[in-house]
Formats: sequence, C-alpha cells, structure tokens
Amino acid sequence: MKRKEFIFLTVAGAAAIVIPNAGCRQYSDATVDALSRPLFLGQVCDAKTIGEIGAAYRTANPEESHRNRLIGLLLKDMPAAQDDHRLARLVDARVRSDFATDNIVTVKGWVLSRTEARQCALYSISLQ
Amino acid sequence: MHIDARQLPDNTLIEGDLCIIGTGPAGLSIALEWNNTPCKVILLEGGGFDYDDRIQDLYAGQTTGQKYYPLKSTRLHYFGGTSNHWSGYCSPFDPIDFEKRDWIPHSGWPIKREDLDPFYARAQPILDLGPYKYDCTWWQQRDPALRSLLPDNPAVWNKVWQFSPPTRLNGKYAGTIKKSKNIHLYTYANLVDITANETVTAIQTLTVKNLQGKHHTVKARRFVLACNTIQNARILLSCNKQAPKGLGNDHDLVGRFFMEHMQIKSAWLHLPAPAPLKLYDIQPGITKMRCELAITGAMQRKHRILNGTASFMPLAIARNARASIETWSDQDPRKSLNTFHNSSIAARRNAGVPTTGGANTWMLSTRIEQAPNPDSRVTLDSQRDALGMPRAMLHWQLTPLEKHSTRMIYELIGQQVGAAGIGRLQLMEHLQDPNDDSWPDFTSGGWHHMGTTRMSDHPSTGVVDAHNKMHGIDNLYVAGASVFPTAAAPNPTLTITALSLRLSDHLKTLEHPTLP
Repeated sequence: MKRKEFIFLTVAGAAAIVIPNAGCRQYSDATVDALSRPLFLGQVCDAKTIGEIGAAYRTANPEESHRNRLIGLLLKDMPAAQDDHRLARLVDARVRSDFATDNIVTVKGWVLSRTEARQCALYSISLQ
Repeated sequence: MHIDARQLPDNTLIEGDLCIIGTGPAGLSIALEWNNTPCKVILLEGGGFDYDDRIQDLYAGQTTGQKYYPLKSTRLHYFGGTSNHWSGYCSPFDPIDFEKRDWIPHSGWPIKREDLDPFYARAQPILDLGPYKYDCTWWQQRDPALRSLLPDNPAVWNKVWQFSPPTRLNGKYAGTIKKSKNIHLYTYANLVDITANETVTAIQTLTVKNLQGKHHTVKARRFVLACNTIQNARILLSCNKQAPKGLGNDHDLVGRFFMEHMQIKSAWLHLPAPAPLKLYDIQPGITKMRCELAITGAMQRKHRILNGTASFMPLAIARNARASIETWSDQDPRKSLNTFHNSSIAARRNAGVPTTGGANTWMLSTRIEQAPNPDSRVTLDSQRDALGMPRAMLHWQLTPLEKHSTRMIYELIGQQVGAAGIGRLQLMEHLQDPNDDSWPDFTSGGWHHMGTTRMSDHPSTGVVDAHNKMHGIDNLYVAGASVFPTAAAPNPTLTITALSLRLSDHLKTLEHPTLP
C-alpha cells in the first residue's frame, strides 16, 4: 500500500468507527478521524504499517487498548478546537512537543512520539 | 638504506641507537621523524616489499567468541603493513574518549585530547589528508551544499571524517627509507626473541629470524615494538624465558582488553521527500570528507553509553549491500579484499543510476567503540608457525553495554529527527528488544585491533605508561593501537600516527635533546 492511500483510507475508515456506548462521551466521526491520523508518520509509511504499530502499542500498553481511553488521552489538556482540521494541527503540534520533551516510545522499532503512537493505536482499533 | 637480512651471514650482529620493530603506520611514522639525524636507526620488517604468502602465514591464528575474520587476512605482513590495503577513513578521537567514565569499567587514558592535538595536525600530511579541520562548519562554509540533517541540538552532532587517498606507506615512503643514510631497514627480519638484563629491567638484544633459517642479533639503546596489536601481545607473551608470564606481564594484562569497532547496519531513516544528504553520503575515491551523526558527550554521560556514530547509505544501495563479515572470509587477504570490493561495487551497480534528488529512505550503520573487557584477549596457541613462534589465538568478546549503547544512539537520533520534523527513524529487528544482548551473525568488526598493551599511569592497570614506555623496563616502548585503553568510534590509523609522533618526540628528548 502506498503512502498517499493512507489518507484516503483513514477518512473512509472513520465512518466505520462506532459511536461510544451510552453514558460515555460521544465523539463525532470527524473528530475520531482527526485523532487517528498521524499526519507526519502517514507521509513516511503506509496504512498497514501504522495499523501494525498501533496494534503493537496496544499490546505493550493494555491500559490504553480501548478506544475511548485513547481518545481521552489524546484530547487531554487539549485546547478546544473549533473544527477538526484545527484539532488535527493541534495533535500534530503535540507530536512535535513530545519529541522535544522526551515523551517518546519505541514501537516495532519506530521511534515515535507518545501521541502519534496513540494515534496509531486508535487507527488500529478502526481496523478491527 | 636497505639490507635484506636473508643475504647477511648467519648470526650477524646489527647495532644501532634506536631499533624500531615494524614498518606499519606506527613504526614508519616514527622512523621518518629520525631521517637525517645523527642517530643510527635500525628498522626491522618481517617481510619484504611485496606480498608473500609464506610470510603472511606467520599471522595466521584461531579465533573464538564473537565471529571474526580469519586472522591471517586482517593485517598485512610486508613493508608499510596494513596501510597497503586500508580504506583511508580518518577522524580524531573526541575529548570524552580520553576521560575516565564511571559507567565504562577500565576506561580513561593518562593523556587528554589536547595532548594529542599538535600530533594529530602533524599526522595529517603523512596520510595525505587535508587541513587539521574537523569542525563541520569549516567545511560547510566552503561548500553550502553540505547541509546538516539536524538543526543544532543538545544530543546529536556532525562528526567529520576525512579520507586519505588512501596512502599506501610502501609506495610513498619506501624510497625515502632506502635512500636514508641513517635509517637502516632490514627486511625479512622477524623478531622471535627479546633478551633482557638479569633483573629484566632493560632490554639488551633482540633475536630476528627468517624463513631461510638465519638468526641475527640486534643491539640498541632503545627499542620500539610496533608490530600491530595482536603481534605486539604475541611477541611479549612468547618472550618468557626470563619473565615466565611474558615480558611486561607481571600484572597479567598483556593480551587482555582486545577491542574492535562493531560495524553493523542498525536503522532506517524515512523522509517524506527525497533528500541528497551530501554531507553524509560518500562517493568512493571522490569524497574528501563526510560526516557521521555522533552523540554529544553530555548525552553519553546522561544515558551511560559508549561512543558511537551513524553513517548513511541510500536504500537502493543498502538493499544489496552485504556485511563485511560475510564477504571477508578467505584466509588470503588479497582474495578477501577482492570479494569485499566486488560486493561493494555490485551493490552500487545494482542500485542503478543515483538520482540527484537523493533518497527517501537511508540505512544507518553503526560504528561503535567496544567497552574494555579483560576477557576479550589474545593468548598463545600450542601450535607454532614456520619460525617456531607460538601462534596467536583471539577470543573476541562483547558485553551488554555495546548493545544497549547502540540501541540508545538510535533512540536519541530518532528523537532529534522527530523533533525537527524531518522524518522518522526505525530500528532494525536486532535492536528492537531492549532485553536482547545478543548480536546477529552479520555483526562485523572494522578490522581495527586495539588494546592488548594498554596505556596507564600505573603498572597494575596498564602495560605502558603515558609515554608508551613499558612499565618496569627502561628502554622498551610500544607503539600502535595496542596501547589504546579505549577504542573511541573513529578508525584508529590517524590516532596511531599521532601517538607515534608524540612518542618519537619523547624519544628525541631522551636520546639527544638538541634533535629537531
């Protein structure tokens, strides 16, 4: 799978993500899509790899293996975004910040920001 | 002048002021310093001016431990030594390499980097290198296309390598030595025994021998053993008629702490768009300098790791490249060299025409120092060579620190690459499990032998002192990489040459204070 295909698939894949159970906070498909798309990583590897990274991250961090938990962590302390494009940019800025502040993880050999590893994990759930 | 020791009458007495044993980069760089001086220098070479397989076989030996090249093939046994097939990579050691680092047992030199700086500068022209400039910005000011991958940061920096043509010391300096009036080069004169005085505090004579069965005796006031790391240890250990454990081996250090540089493919750098990375790329025979990514001293201290660097190769070439340990497998160094070169050429040819835009994906390879390890060592075999000398045995042994350090180097580079928004780095499979201390079969050495007669101020921790003089013996000096207490990351020839020039200056102050 080529790199550019990833962007298409994540948009299409977002529609398949189910709305959370009653009692849980609800997130729009577009919001989930913005959170589950690691923008920079998507430029250097394909969707299959991102899914594999995400699955490996969830295995190594079982406490972060659930969709809503991951969404909560990704949105934690995030300023309110007026739209999902801005949300995606905020997440991307956090990715850069993670690298600068040593908040990194190594997953399947990939040296990643904690945030983008969680994005991969969220994406991998969408594949189930 | 040149004398073929095979043509001398048996039992000839050879006398001089200074005797240098070995004509590789260490021995020759000292000898050249003494040309046109009033001192009579005896320069001993075991072989002649060309490859001779019977002479080369004197270097054969067994290896155990970490998989290694055939010993016969790793050093050349004729005038000029291994400079006759080296690849010319040069870079000085870093200041931290000389320091005692509490996370690296047995680390620390009795000298500092600034002690060597003037000698590094003098070594540059001997090896036909450029100016003594190893600051990346100096080169970038002269070629703006040498752009750094990373902005300035506290963890990763650009370490400069310069490339010798590579200089073959045989071709460059044999004529000078042959014409010299005061340097007496004896070829086919293999050192087989050293005789000390009764108290074993000074060397009196050497015995040299050749395959024609002739023995000769060499007398001098001072002796410099410059035969290479394995042979220096082998000779000292085998000279045990007066010192049962071997000369200079009262503290059981001779032969121990053998070190190599691990060279191994380690990670992939993925970029969103092709980039030429001229600063890090190499065109064999053309490139005069390039950089490798290195880890700052501060980060080495923080993460308690060894010093190492990462070099770059475009994916198109890397996917066809074979590890050195897989291509350098023949006992005959000429055949191994051919296979090695042909493999490198094929990898480039199969990659096709390089694009000017560069590559999206680059393979990063590690060159890293080995932690000094007393169990990584040269010993004597029960088998003997054609001159009756015990053959060398090498047990090359690594520690978990090398693996941990290699992994950490790429995590640090990966972090900076991510922080700069340049790309992402992926460790290769053999580095992915932090609990795995093993090394894969394609782990290669750099053909860099170091550390069997290490330098230290105290005889309990080193074989030679800070001036390369053997502890306890007044007139025996050791030159070459065998005196390195730690290995640093760079190829050793530049440092061997610099240390040898420093030793030469020291000997001049002892021999004749007015010598230039």
